[in-house]
Amino acid sequence: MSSGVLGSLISNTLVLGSLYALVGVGFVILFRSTGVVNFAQGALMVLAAYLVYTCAESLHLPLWICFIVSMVAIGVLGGLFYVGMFRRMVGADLFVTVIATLGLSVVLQMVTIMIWGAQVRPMPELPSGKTLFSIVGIPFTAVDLVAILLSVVLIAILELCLRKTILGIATRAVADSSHLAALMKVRVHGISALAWAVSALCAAAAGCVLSLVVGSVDPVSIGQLGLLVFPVVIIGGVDSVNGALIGGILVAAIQNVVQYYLGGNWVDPLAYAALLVMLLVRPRGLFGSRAVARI
Amino acid sequence: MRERAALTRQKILAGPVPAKRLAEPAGWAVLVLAALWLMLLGSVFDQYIGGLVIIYAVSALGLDWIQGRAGQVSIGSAAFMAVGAYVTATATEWHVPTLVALLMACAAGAIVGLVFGLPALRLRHLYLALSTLALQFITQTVALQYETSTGNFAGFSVPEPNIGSLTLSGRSLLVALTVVLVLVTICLRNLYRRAPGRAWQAIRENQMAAAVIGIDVNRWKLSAFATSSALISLSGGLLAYYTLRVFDDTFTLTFALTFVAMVIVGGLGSISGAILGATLITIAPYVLSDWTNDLPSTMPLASWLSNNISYIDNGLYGIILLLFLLYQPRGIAGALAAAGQRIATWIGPRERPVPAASLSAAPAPVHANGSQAPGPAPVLAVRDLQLVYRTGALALSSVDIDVRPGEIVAVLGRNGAGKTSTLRAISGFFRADRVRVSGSVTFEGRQIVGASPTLTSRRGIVLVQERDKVFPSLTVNEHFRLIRSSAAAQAQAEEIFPPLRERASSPAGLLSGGERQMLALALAWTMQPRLLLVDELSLGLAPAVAKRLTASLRDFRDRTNVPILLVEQNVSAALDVADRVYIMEAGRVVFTSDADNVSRDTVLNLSFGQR
Amino acid sequence: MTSGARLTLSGVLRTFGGIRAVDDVSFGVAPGETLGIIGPNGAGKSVLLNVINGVYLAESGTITLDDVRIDRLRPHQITAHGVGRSFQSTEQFRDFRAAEYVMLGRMAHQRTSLFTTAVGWPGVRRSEQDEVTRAEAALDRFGLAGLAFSRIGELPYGAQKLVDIARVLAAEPRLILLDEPTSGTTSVERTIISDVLEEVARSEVTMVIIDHDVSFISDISDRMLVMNYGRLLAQGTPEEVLARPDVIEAYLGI
Repeated sequence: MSSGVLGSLISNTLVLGSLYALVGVGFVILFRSTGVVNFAQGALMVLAAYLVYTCAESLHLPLWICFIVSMVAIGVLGGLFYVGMFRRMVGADLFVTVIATLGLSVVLQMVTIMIWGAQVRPMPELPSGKTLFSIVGIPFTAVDLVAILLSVVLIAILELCLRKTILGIATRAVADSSHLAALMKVRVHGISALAWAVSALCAAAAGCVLSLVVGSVDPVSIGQLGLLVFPVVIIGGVDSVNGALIGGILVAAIQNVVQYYLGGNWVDPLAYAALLVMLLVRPRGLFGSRAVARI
Repeated sequence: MRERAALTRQKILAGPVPAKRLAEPAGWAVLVLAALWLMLLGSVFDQYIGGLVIIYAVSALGLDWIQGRAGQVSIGSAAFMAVGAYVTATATEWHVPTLVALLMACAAGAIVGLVFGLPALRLRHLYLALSTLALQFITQTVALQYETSTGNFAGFSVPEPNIGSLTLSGRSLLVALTVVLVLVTICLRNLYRRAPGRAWQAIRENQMAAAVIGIDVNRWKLSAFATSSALISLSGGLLAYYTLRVFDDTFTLTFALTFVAMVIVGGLGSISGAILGATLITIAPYVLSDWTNDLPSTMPLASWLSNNISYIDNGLYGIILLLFLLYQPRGIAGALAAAGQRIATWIGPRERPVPAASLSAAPAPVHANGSQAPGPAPVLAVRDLQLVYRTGALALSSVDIDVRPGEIVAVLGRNGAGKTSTLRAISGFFRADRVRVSGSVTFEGRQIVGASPTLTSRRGIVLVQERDKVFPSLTVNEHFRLIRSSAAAQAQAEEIFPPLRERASSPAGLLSGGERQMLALALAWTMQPRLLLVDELSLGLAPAVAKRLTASLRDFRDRTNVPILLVEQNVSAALDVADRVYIMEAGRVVFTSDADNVSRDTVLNLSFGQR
Repeated sequence: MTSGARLTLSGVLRTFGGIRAVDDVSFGVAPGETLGIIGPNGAGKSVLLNVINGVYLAESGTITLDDVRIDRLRPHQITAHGVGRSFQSTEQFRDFRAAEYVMLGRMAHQRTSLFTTAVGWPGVRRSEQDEVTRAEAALDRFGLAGLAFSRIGELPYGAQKLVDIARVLAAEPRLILLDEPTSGTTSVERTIISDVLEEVARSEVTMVIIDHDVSFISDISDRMLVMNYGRLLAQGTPEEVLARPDVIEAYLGI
């Protein structure tokens, strides 16, 4: 492998990996707080990307405003999902919520296609988006750097909030024991809705940036990328935020290597094969807690 | 022996006809009528859809097997159908007869099922779902590769099926498919009604308990997965012979999800339900399209609907699935069964089992002198409290307890006497706990019986639980921040319990039992309770530590005059601090007195019984 | 009834997160004997039962049943060796009919073939009928024959517990482990249960019972064990054990 190819593999891994990690972190926060395994992340990512598209193309707003609008809108939508639907399923079996999120993803996809149609739409370009920067010999475009920066900043903000703010402490408390949290006068329903909103916001951010990196948006491909959150969190550990970070980078690395040697068709299946291997060898993932293995 | 006879003589009946037995014939009647109509009166298009319904029903029955009976979530329907379809297509290229090709499809499905079921053995729900998700993606790619490498870029074409010299198509094919469905149904019914069905149901309810009962859980889970996969692969082979084409684009994740919808909508764990669900999900888009076309164009939504109908059709099953999950999670079969139950109750007089409470003879509570003296109105007044858990276990039957202002009241008794249940009944239950509480619990004059913990904590009732008293991943400091404690309050707590200052940045999960109890108490005091409930303070603690903690409880009361209700197994620690004492036994109060008047012998007798 | 098994525990240790739930416990139960285990909350009694049963693996020590080591076996294998265990709560199997639930108990001793069952082989149909008759007989022993086709969830709590015990007995075990058979029952139900258990105790089956109702357990046991903080505090006849001051102190803190 030439150094040029290696360089672009590395940059690709970092970009994809940080976006995967972002979605993964949102997933883990939701899972730890509410126990919900959300199969609808991908659909939310797609919806977010389309919102940016519409904002930019039809409303002609600057790109960064479109981003914020989309992230906030999807975040609110996530909260509404809890209030309207998942709040009633508190205490239900895990598999009921799994099926509910699966159904939700189907309906979201249907709505997306109804509004925007099924064809591939090009995403607006970042000014100077194609210029190549070289950092330590590794080539990055401006879009790449935006992707990595956005993910790192968002994850850092989330970590900070979880560690330092009362809301973050309350979220971690609910994740430990919602019953005890209620006894300590924590508004458990509010925290759950917040966890849904944050998780949706992460998915939205990742979806927007991903569509910029890819250059286009269509109903299927980003959604498929969204499902890759599962290899990420299984490898990392379904209840570990740090695990999501490492898992994201690992899955992106596997995908890039596979793409180079075997071609695009095998990228997804091998990521899932890695998931299966992890389930066989160490069900709780690299950083997950022991309790998780018995779900 | 006399009592035993009396129990059965209470004529505890099961109910005239178990409700499920009413739902099954109803479901079958509908299906048989529909099938007859289809064969005799349906158009060619209707018959085509009917054939699809039958094939999908076979697949749904397979999914219901693994999901509804054995309780494992699987989104592998599309993948297994693909396996069956491709094996069949390949077999026909080798000129293998129809029935043999279908058998090969089953075998292939069983093998893949075994391979994918093995890693999922140790794990449960979530991981089997993910395992089958992985299978889905892997299968799609393998199928695509298979097609391109054999030059079948547009998929495989499949010749018409035949039995001997008879070629099956049109109506004869439909009849053959119906025969297959009937045979499958008979075999499944045989399995479900006998030992295998019981084993799978036990595994679905509680795997560990099933293992303890003697069921080889792994063997049964694997057998369920392998055989249900074989059945789903059979339906894939049937689909190949029906559509005469096998193309990788058919077996997508969305396709797999339609089967999940079928099984949920039909109702898990019901054969007729799976078939009804398959029917509903398959024909819904067509029915909706027809209906939309017939709408007068003047209706407001009509044009929007007809423009978007194809998108809606694609996502319709998702909408139906969500609606059922929210409003009728037991599916059509469940709705029929519930309706049948109501009809049955209406038809025949049904003697309900006599409530357990009325069967027991209650000894009247024994009052020692002193406690009857009139005093200030109680802060907490519990009257005739009764608590029945969802299982029917009677936790409390008529409990009366008073807590007066500034008092420390101890509730003693051995395990199972109902002490913890009493505290929980006072502090409140979540709806998910599903208990039945009756009687009266008044706090500061207001009725709180049956309230939720959120409400009672807002009124100032603070409960320190026996287990789960602190958050393992939060540090001591973070606990205080969580309850919005002032720095002064935290400092005061650290004065009383110096270890809290030393361990201020340590996660609570790393504290010792005594330190956790100190933290829990300190938090409770900081929340400025109007009534403090403490459950088993001394549990698991060395006697000296327990004594220190109970003493600190008394100091707290002396400082703040907050009344305390203390549940304890450790009699001496409790008697050290309590003003009054209740002793509970088998869900009721059997003794109450001032603490000074409780003799060692009384407690011994009540704990160890009449000797 | 079959003859009882001899159970021997030696140096059994089981910890949870650093706490010694079962701490170096050794004792033996003679064939046909009834052993009662008492102790304050958290003493490790249920953990001990779960270890014997194979639900938890012992970290060290051995457990033998009639010279066969069972401490490394999985729960269903131990059950196949002739061990039966009742549950503290019947919450999990509410939808089963009583007879179906009792039939579950015998699964460890049966060979079932999916194929012959699916096609409705006559032999399978006959043996199923036999099983149903057996289950009804087992329930009849406790006067519950009329409830054979009721759902467990709809029965009074005491009846649920009796059905569970019937399930244990239907498998004709050589060692019975009972986990708080009288908890949550009313006094009338408790009388019925203790009548039944006394009958079983008098038979040749070996029994180990955990309960909190000290008078019930001391009436029914030949010998008693007291546990505290995971360790064995005392062993002996009920009279001996309950007269000991250290037992009284452990229980009452007096």
